[in-house]
Amino acid sequence: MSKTTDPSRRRFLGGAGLLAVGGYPARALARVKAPHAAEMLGPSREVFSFCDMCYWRCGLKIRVRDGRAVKIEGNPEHPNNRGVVCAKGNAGLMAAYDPDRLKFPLLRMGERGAGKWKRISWDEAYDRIAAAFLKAKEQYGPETLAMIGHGTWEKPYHRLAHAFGTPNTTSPVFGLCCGPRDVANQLVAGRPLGGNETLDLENCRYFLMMGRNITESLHNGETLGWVEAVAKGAQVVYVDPRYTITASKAKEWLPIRPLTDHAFLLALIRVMIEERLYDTEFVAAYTLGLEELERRVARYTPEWAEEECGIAAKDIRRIARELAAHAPAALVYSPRRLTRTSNDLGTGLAISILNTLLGVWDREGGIFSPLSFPVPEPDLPPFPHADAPRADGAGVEGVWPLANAQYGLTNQMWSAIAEQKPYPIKLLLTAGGNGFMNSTDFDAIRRAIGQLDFFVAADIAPNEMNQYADILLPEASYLERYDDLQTGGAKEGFVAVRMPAMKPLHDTRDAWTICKQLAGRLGLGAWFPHASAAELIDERLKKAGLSLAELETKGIVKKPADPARNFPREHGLPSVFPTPSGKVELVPSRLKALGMDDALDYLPQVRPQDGEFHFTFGRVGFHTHARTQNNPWLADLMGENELWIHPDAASRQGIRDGDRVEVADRNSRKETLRAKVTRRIRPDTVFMVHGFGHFDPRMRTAHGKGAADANLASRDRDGHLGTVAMGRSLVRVRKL
Amino acid sequence: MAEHDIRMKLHLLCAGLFAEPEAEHLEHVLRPLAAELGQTDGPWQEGVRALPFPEGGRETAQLGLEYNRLFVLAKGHVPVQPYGGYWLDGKSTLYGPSLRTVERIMAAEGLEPAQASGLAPDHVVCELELMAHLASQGGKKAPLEKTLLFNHLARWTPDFCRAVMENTREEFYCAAAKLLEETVARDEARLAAHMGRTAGDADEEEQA
Repeated sequence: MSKTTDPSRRRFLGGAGLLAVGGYPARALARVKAPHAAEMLGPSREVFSFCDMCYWRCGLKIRVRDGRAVKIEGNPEHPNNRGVVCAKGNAGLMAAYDPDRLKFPLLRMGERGAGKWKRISWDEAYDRIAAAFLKAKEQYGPETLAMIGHGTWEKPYHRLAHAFGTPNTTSPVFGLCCGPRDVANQLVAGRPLGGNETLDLENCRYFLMMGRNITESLHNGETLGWVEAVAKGAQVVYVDPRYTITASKAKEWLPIRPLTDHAFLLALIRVMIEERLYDTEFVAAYTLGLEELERRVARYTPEWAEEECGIAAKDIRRIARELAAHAPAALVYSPRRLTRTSNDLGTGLAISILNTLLGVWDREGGIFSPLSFPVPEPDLPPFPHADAPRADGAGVEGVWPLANAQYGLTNQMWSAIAEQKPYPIKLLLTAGGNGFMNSTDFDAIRRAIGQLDFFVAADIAPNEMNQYADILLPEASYLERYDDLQTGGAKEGFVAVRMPAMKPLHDTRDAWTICKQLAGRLGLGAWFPHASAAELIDERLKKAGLSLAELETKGIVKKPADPARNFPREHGLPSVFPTPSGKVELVPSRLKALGMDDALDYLPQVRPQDGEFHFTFGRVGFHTHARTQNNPWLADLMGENELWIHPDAASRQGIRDGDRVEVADRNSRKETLRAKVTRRIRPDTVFMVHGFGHFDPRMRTAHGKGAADANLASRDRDGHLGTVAMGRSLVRVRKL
Repeated sequence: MAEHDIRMKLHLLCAGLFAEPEAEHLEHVLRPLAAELGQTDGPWQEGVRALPFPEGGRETAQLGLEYNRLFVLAKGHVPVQPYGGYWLDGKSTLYGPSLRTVERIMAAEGLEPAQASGLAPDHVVCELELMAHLASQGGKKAPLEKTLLFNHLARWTPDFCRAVMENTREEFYCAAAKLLEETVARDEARLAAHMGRTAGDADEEEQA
């Protein structure tokens, strides 16, 4: 049985730098690659900041050595993350050190989008921008300027645009993301849940997660709270056509038919009312409209819902009872992006109504009242009155009256520019963002840009949208600048600072400075009276009895959580609901006044024909929207997306795992990518991670990797809000 | 065969038995090592000869499943933790203070776990390979051997081996655990007799 050892074989096995012991290869140990030599590193210090890698804004401590940011750590005092930093946050260093960054002002030389640029000075850039802005203003009026932002740094751009006199400032957060959810809660309870949702996750005992993929569409503080609850035994029912990582942590996964969440929720409401499972005391004291609601949902039986959404009637009844049994420590958890169907408002309303029936408002394990930390804004002249209505119709009676006029409808703004209706929009100023990849209509974006007299884009990195700019202004990254204050409303109120960890690496300027200097050229200096962003925030802090110097020593100042104010109903105190009636309105009065109460009723959605699939997309824990795919560290974790397809569907098309496939919608829009054949998705649905398929060659890491979901998602709209119904695309898949 | 050579080979064999089963390594390194030791007279002979090496790919694959079940994958907990720190620093601790002892010895020798191995320094494979490496130097590294043995291997591998024997469904791992238990016990007796010192002394030495 014995065999002699073959030395050549041993050498082969001992490859990859492994140690050889007595001529035999080890399996684990290796020689240290670099000789041990004491490194003479300079001392380090830390500065405080808040993250800009996603929109949750975790508190950070940036370690700085020799004038360079070298490590990002979490600030344990910050309620948004309690010291934790995710992969995206850690990779924030590469947002600054990205070799593809925009490094100096650029003037377009060839056709728009052709990629031919000339370096110019900041002064020349400002002069050209000011000349173009003033000329168009004189010809078309101030409303001819549209400002589209997407990030923390957009605040000064809003101020600049409002000082210019235009009402047309917008950000995708409403029309392309959370709008329907926030409007629904506002209509029902007068209390939108905000960007950092006011949910008492840690103490919740039962979660009904409506596609809220909390472990992958990841925000540290939120995920921590949810994980704590699950670790303590909270039950999770996860509803999604796809088996996500969140589904894997749930007690139960319900693979609902896409676009039918509203049917499921309406049946839950019906059962809850029919079986009197709701919080009778809360409903009697705090709500209006139960009887009308009962009449409206009478037709939505669990059996009807089963036909529509594919979830068994007996399960719908059971879940309604389980929710009620755990209330008020129970939550129907809305998806964060609720822009999927042509009646997302109805879905949002149903979620808000269910939470109301469960009596979770101001109860532990439910929805809490946040504390704020008021820091007054500086004293500025009032903005000039804008005579023209918003071009996107947001907040405009007769157009989209329910849409948020602060953030607007970015999708509608692009259409308004493309069509030049209701009036000419000839100037575009963008601050971050990427219209191609965060909207759903490449054609509309191209047509819109084609209509412009002048397009100026400010950003830290190249992308598909800003490659069409006439002048491209390079911004300092969030590690290289001050920004305006972060004021938060969690259980604790807080104010946090973003300090520069290093001087700008390139010829870049911070957003506030760019806007102040442009304002000076445009005769709008009165709205930017401070010498710097640091002076601005110092003045604001002094009005609140603080100072920048004080805040810089700890990064954050907090007002302690106050259980009596966070959860007044736990302490015998009344809840406040700032609706027109002062009550929680189960059939919102504003909706009725606008004749839009049909949003409460079910609106059937599209269904695939033979060979078609519902098209879905979503987030992954390593990337934020379409803005991090070029980050070298994050691209290491996930460099391209794949098309999730069920094996039964794949085998019908002869598709095997890893094959390249073409995905085409009914409008002949097409994308190609590799197939991921998996049982973790319904057979009638395909999925891809959002944000890939970049086609700007300046993005050398991400260019050409994966497919753009934005080029396949639906362009339909929610009929009540004007938000995008992205989930209504039906696609076919073909092996290449 | 010289005593230090036998000790080196025994530790290397034991390390390999608890590494992730790989057909090439089993066939071309471990089996010949075992054969060589099995032909050498000594108290280890019986244990080495009793090792039931897998025959063919299917048996190796089966062993791989058992390896994953025992040491890697877990639903709730790993049946047998292969990290010394778990046994030495309290059973909820990985990367605990005891890890530093092993790290220091490795650093003194210019060694570290290969990045591709994905293992921490106090993994049973790393510690045994480190011991093999020290033994291969013919007694020149006796103080380090003693520190590693008395502060680490002798303190946790008996519990580890018992856990393997209680949890495994494969005769291979049962025999491997028995061989490791006997090897460490013999080493402990030998080093204590030769150097006349105890584990407590090793602690002091390390602290100094």
